[in-house]
Amino acid sequence: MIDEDILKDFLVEAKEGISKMEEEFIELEKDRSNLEIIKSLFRTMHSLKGASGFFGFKSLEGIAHFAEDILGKIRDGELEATEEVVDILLRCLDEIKYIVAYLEEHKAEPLDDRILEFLVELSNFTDKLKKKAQIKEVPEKVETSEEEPKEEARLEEKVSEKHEAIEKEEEKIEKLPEEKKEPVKEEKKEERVIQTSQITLTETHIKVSIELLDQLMNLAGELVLARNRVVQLANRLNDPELSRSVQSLSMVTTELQETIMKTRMQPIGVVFNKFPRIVRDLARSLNKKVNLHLEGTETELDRSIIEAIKDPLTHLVRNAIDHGIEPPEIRVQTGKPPEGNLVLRAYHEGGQVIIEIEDDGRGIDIEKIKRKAIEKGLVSPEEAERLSEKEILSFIFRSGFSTAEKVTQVSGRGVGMDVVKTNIEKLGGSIEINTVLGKGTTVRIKIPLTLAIIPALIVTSHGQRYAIPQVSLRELVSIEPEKDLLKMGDTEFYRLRGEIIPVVRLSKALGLENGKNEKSLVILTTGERFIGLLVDEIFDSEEIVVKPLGKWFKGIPLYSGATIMGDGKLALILDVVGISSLAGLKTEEVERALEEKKVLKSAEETQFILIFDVGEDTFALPLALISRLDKVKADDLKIVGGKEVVIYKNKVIPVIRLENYLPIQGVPHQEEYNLLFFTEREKTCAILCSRIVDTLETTLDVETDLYQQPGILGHRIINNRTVLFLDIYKIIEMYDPEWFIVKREEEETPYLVLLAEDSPFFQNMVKNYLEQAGFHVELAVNGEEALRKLKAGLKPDLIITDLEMPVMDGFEFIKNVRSIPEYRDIPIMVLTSLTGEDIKRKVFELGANAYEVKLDREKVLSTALELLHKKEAERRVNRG
Amino acid sequence: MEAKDIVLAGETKKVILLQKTIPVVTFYLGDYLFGIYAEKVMEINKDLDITPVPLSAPYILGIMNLRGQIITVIDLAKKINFKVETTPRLNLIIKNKDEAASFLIERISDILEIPEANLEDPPEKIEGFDKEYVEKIYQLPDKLLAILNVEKLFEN
Repeated sequence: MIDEDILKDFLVEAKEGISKMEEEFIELEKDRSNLEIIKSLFRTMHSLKGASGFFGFKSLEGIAHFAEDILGKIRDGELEATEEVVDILLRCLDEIKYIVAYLEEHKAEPLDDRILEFLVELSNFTDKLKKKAQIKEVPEKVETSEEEPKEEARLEEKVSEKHEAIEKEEEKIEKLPEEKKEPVKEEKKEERVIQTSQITLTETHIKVSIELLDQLMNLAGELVLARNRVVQLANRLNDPELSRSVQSLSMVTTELQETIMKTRMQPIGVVFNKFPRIVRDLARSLNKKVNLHLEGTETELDRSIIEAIKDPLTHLVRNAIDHGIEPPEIRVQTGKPPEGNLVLRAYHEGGQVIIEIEDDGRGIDIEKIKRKAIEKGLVSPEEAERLSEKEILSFIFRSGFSTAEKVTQVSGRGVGMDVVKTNIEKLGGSIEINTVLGKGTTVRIKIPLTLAIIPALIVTSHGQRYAIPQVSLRELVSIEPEKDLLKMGDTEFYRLRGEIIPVVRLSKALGLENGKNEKSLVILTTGERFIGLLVDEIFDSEEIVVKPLGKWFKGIPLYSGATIMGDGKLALILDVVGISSLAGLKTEEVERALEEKKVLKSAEETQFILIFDVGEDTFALPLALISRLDKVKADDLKIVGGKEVVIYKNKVIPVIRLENYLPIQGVPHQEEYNLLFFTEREKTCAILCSRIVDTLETTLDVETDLYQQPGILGHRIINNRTVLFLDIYKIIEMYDPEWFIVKREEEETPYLVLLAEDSPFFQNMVKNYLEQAGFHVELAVNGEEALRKLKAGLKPDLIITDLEMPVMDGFEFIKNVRSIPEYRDIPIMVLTSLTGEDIKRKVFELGANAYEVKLDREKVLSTALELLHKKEAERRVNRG
Repeated sequence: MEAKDIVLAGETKKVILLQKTIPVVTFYLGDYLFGIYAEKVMEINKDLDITPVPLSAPYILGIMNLRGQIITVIDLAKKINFKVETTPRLNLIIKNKDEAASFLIERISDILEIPEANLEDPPEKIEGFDKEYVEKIYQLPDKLLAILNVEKLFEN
C-alpha cells in the first residue's frame, strides 16, 4: 500500500513537471536547436521516470523511458528534433498526463489496451529511428504527421468553449517565478488548447514561496490595522450607509486574514514523519527495540512553530529512547513485551496544541533526582523531603542537570532539557512531565496555534504603549504602591492573598524614572513563577500582529517583538520570561516560598522573617508586618515635642528605640540608620535599627521559656546567633498605649474568644493584639484542647482557629464543632499564615465563617467584630 | 543623464562614455557630504514618528512603521561618531541584505553618477567622525565625498 502523502507529493511534482515540459516543448517547436530546452526536458523526463519506477507505475515509467531515450538522442546530436519526433514526444506527454490524472483518481495505473498499443508504437518508432539513423532514409510516417495537425485544428473549435477556464489556469501557472517566456504567449496558448483537449490535469496544489506567504500575512495584518482605523472613523461619523459598508469591509477583512493564516498552517506530520527514521537508527545503536506510533499527524500548526518545535521534539524523543525505554532483556524480566512503545501524539485543546511524547519505559526515578539535586546543592536535604514529585521533576529542566550515569553520544551531557524548556517557553508554550516508576513517562507540551496574531493586553509606561501576550496574564490588581508594596533592599513585593510576589516596575525595567502614576499591577506567570508588573495604565486587550524587531535589539531580553496599533503607531511586545529575570535574586526566595506553599497542606507553616541588629542584639520580625524598609541619615532624626521623629516622604513619623522598652544596649550612634516602618490604619511608626542582616524563610518556632519579657515572643538560634522574635504590637503599645485604641460603640461585657493555635509565636502575638482590642482570650494549643474546653462548658462568642496543628488540626476541629448542635451558631474564623483558594473553599464547606491571614491584624480584628455583630443581630431577630 | 554631466563637467565626453559609473545618493551631516550607493537606498522620507525602544544602544532612536514593516531608526551622526551637533530631519532608508533600517540625515543632496575608476580608498586619517565607516572617497571639485560602508553601518 502506497503512503497517501507520498503519492500526493509525487502527483504534485509530476503535474508540475508536465506543465513545465509542455511549455518547453512549445519553445522547442519555435527553436528546434535549443539545446538548453532539450536538456531541461531530458532532466524532467528522467526524474519522472525515476519516481514512477519507485512507485512501480510500469506504463508511466515505460513511456517516460522512451521519451527520455529520444530526448537523450536529440541532446547528443544523434537525432534531429523533426516535427515528427516532437509530435511523438508530445503524444508521450499526453499519455503521461492521462495516466497521472487516472492515478490521482484511482491511486493505481489504468489498465487500458490503448496504453499498451501506445507503448508498442513507441517501441516501433524508436526502432525505426535507429534504422533511420543507420540508413538515413526518409521515414514513412511523414504522411500521418501531416494529417494530424488538421485533426487538431478541428478539435480546437470544439474546445473553444473551454477556452476561458483554461486561460485562467494559464494565468496561475504563469505566476510561478520560473516561467518567463513572454514573447511566445499567444502561440503557446493555442498549442495548449490542443493538448489539453485530450486530458486536463486540474491543479490542486501550486508551490508558493514562503516569503510570499509571509508578505501576504504582513499585508493582511496591515489591512486589519487599516480596517480598525476606518471602523473608528465610521463610528465617529455615524452614517448608516458608511457603517454598513464598513461592517462588510470588516467581515471580509477578518475572513481574509483567517484564510491567509490557514495558508501558513502545516500538519505536524511534517515533523512527526521524520521520527520513524530517527527512532529506528537510535534504537538500533542502543540495541533496543522500539515501536513508534504517530497520532494526530494531521493536527495543524503555524509553520513558524513547526520549525521551532523540531529540535525540542527530537531531543525529547532521544531522551525517551535513551533513558526511558529499557533494553529488551530487562523489559522481558519486568514482564513487559521486548519492544518498547513510543507514542508521539498531537491534538487541539482549547485553542492550543498539545503534543505528547509517551513511552512505556522505566519511568523517572524521583529519588535519584532528589539525590542529584541535593548533591548539586540545588536544594537542602530537609527541603528536598518537603518537595512534591512535580517540583522534584522540575529539576530536570535546570541547566547542567543530568542523571544519566554515563555520558553517551545520545544524552547525558546535561545540556538539553533546560534548552528544550526555554525554547518551548519562547513560543509561549509550557512543558510538563508525568512519570510512573517502572511504567513509563509522558512529556506534555502545550503550544499556541500561531505566533503571528495573538491576543495581548496593552499597558503604558511613560506614555508609551506596550503589549503583553494574554497567555502570560493571570490577573490585574489596582494598588497604592506606597502602601501595598513591601520593600526589601531594591526589590519590591506584593502580597496577593498570602502569596508573596516580586514586583517589577515597568518604568524601572525600561531604565526610565519611576512613573508617577504606577498604580496598576499586572500579575504575570511564566509558567512556574508569578511576577507583578507595575504599569501606569491598562488598556483593552487586542489582537496584535507580532512583528520581529531588528537584530539591533537581540540583546535586550525585555522585548519579544513589536506590533502596529490601530492608529499606525508602534508598541513593543514585552517578553514575560525576560521581565521575570529582572525580578532578580530575590525571586528565588519567593519561588521557594511558593513551592513550600504547595506542599504546605499538613506541614508546618513558614514565613519570611527579617533579621536585624539593634546594637549587639539580633531581632527577627515577620516580613509581612513591615510596610517598608529604608535608610535615613542621623541628621534626619529630630526631637520634636519630646518625641523622636523622622521626616519621611513629607510625613512626621515617630521613631521607636527598642532599648527604651527592652533590656538591651540599643543602637550606638551611626551616620546612617535603618528604619522599619509599620503602618496600620493610616498611622505609621518606625523602629530604629543598626543593620539589616538577612531575610529568611522559616517556620515561626520559638523557645518561649528563656525570655519572658513583654515585647519578646521568644528566641531561636539562627546561624549560631540568638535571635529574639519581637512582639511589635506590644512594643508599639508600650510606646503609645493609645496607638491601637479604636473607639468601640456599646461595649458592655467583653467578648470571649477561643483561640486554637499551636505556635507560641502566634499564640502570643494574636492573643496580644486581640486583648489590646478589648477581647478576652482563652487559649488552646490544638483542636482537641479547644474542643475539650468547649465541652467543659466554655461559651465563647467567637472561635478563632489555626489550620495546621498537631493532634487535631483546624479542619477536624471545625468539623467537630459544627457537628454539635449547641455550638453550631458560634462564628468561626480561620486564621492561617498562607492561603490558597482550595483550602479556603474547603474550610467554608466545613462551616467556617471567615478566613484571614494571621499577620493582618487590622483585618483580623475587623472581621472578628463583623462576625460578632452579625451574630448579635441574628440573635435579636430570633428573640424578637 | 543630467547628473553625469554635472559631475563630469570639465572632462571630455569620450572619456565619460568609456568609464563605468556608479550612482550614489549624497547627503549632508553638518557641512560634510556623505554618500551611499544608490542601489542600497530604498527611499527617503520625512516621517519622523519614531517609537523609542528603551535600553537600546545610544545611536538607536527607536523603531518606525514603514508601510507595515517595522524598521529600526538609527541616528547616523551618533553611529559614525560625528563630532558636530546635527539635527536629523530625514529618513534615509537603506537596505542591507534582508534588513532595512532608517538612518537619519540632515539634508539630502544630488544623486551623482561617479566613475568607478575615480573612487579612492579613504586616507589614513579622517577628521570629524570614525574612519572605519568610510568605504571610498571621491574628490568633487569643491568637496570631498565620503561614501559610507553599508555593511559596517548595519553592524551592531
